[in-house]
Amino acid sequence: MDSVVRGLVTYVAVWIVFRIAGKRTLAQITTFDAVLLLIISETTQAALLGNDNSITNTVLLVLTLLGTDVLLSEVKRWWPAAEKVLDGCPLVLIDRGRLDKHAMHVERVDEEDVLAAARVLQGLGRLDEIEYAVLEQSGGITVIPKRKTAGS
Amino acid sequence: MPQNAATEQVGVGEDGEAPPVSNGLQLERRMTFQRLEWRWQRVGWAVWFLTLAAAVAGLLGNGPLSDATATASDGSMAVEYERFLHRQGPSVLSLLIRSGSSDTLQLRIDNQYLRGVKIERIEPEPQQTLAGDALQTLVFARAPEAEFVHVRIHYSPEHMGELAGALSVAGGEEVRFWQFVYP
Repeated sequence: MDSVVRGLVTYVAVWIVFRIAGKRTLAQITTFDAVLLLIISETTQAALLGNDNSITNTVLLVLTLLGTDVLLSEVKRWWPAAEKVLDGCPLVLIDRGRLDKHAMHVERVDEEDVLAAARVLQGLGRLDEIEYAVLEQSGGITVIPKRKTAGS
Repeated sequence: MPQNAATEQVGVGEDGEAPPVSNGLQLERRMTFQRLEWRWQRVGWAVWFLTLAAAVAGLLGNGPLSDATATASDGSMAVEYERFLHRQGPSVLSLLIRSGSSDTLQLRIDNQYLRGVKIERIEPEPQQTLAGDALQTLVFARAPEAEFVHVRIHYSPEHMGELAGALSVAGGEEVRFWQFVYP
């Protein structure tokens, strides 16, 4: 029973922390973020396993963590409101060419990030070439370029 | 290769290592296998859920169905223990002993049982340990007014499989209990 309870509590705790930290927290992994992720996994490991390093405990924990994930994905499918709570929703950063400065400030995204996404995904070089930019649930930025004006 | 075999066979090598083109996509579609996989996944989910339910209930480790108490037939001692353990996972034997009139209390543990477990700590600490052929005797000092003595043995099992416990106090009946250690 302990293994399942520990797994559930850790899942919820980590979910709360990352939900509060925001979508962008680990979306674009820098070298330091990668190291941070390793440190987080090392720290949670001790709490998860307790003093019990047995195979049974490990298997039960993996089943609990992944099982919660599978169960929640089913919940989200049948109850769409849950998805908003659990994963958040996409946020429009550039709407018909206009930047939403407030949204970008709150989500800690700047023009640089949008431009980087525009370069990588669409090969766009300037902000005025972007029709829409969206901060997705996953924390990544997607970009839709402006249509070429009629005639071209 | 004949010319008329063209469209549907494009890209198929001599040994057939490249998949055929169907509906404009060069990909081998194996829906029968896919459906079989889906079905097995559903079965897997059921087993998965049952495993977690068994774990919560205490059939795979600690939990309500794992907690048990064994009592000596003459009431000299009661042992609270866990039926299902994890190998090298910590557990506790909680002993409630009716103390006699002497100022020491002798607890006897079967050597067979001691071979299967590693004793981490005993509360309170015994005054003396006497090693014997088949038994180890722990001697505790007893407070004169104590009617019951509570002893906690912290231990972890060393091997997986069955574990047969046998404890007794001097002059009392033996308490036997059965445990199972998961890997």
